[in-house]
Amino acid sequence: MAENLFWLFATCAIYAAWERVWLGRGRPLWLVPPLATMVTVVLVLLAGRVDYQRYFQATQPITFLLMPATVALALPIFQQWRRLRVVWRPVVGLVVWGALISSLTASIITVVLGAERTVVVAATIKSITTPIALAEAERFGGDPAIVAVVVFLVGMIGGITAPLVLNVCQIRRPLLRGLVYGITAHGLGTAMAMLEDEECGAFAGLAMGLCGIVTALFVPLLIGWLAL
Amino acid sequence: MIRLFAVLFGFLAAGTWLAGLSGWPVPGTVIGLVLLLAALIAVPGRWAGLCRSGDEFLRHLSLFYIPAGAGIVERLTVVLHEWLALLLITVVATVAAQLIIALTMRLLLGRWATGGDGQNG
Repeated sequence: MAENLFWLFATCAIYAAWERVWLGRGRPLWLVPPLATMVTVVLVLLAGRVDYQRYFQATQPITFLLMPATVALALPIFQQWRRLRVVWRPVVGLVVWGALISSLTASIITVVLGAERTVVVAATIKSITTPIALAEAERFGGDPAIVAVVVFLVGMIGGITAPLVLNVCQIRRPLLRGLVYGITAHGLGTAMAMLEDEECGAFAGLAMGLCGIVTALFVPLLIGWLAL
Repeated sequence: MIRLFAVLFGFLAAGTWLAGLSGWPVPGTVIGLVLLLAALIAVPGRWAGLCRSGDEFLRHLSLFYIPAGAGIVERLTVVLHEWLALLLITVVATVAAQLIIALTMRLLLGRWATGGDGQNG
């Protein structure tokens, strides 16, 4: 029990410490708290020869919070409801288009490379939120651990590259910026969009939910088409 | 905060129950999200306090992904074996998708897309 509580403490404390450093240094992208924390945790586990399953079991209470947090995304979407009623058509259109592009770019690359089936399945569902991705992985014979890792990496990298790409393309509307975060980098992207701006975060959450549902619907067709 | 958790767990339970009942591929959490949104819109009320607690809770959303993400240590062999595919999926495909979506926005929305409130560089 004491060991479990230690890992809970360590994970929260490392995150809080990195968040302080990150804020103190003017929010540099390469030091975003989730990335810095994950790298630190991995190094601690490797250095201490700690079994990952042991750590994962101990930190279940943190992972569990993903469930109520996903439901809680309804709140920022609700706060933008008035705006959404006006702009819902382009928003839905962009999310459906983005979900297709996001899935296709990755799956075509893996098929061309001749990657393992587990990697191809992971690629088609890489940019959707973890709970939906894991449900889909189970249906299509993907490896849940690989899917979890790919989805996490995509969220992390997508959350870091999104502001760079958006700045290069000069997209400045928080609403549109949020959509790109949510479509290409799901929950982690949404978390990073929240750090940028509230409106941006709300639309990222909206795009994440919609993109997850849309992708879940067309993945069966896509996997059939790739002849897996 | 407690009122927030009561609401969230209530809708999470309802969503999970419906997901099990219907057999849809959509998970209970997402159904819970949709139900909560529908309830907030349908029932007029002062939800400002609830929304404030929600924002506070969601500010630390990325912490909740850490334990699952650290699972990469267990899959280091696959990661090393398929490193090229993984690198291309996670970095190249993601940036390509972001570029295509951002350019679509510029093409369709033009000036509206580039003329934000000026607070985002």
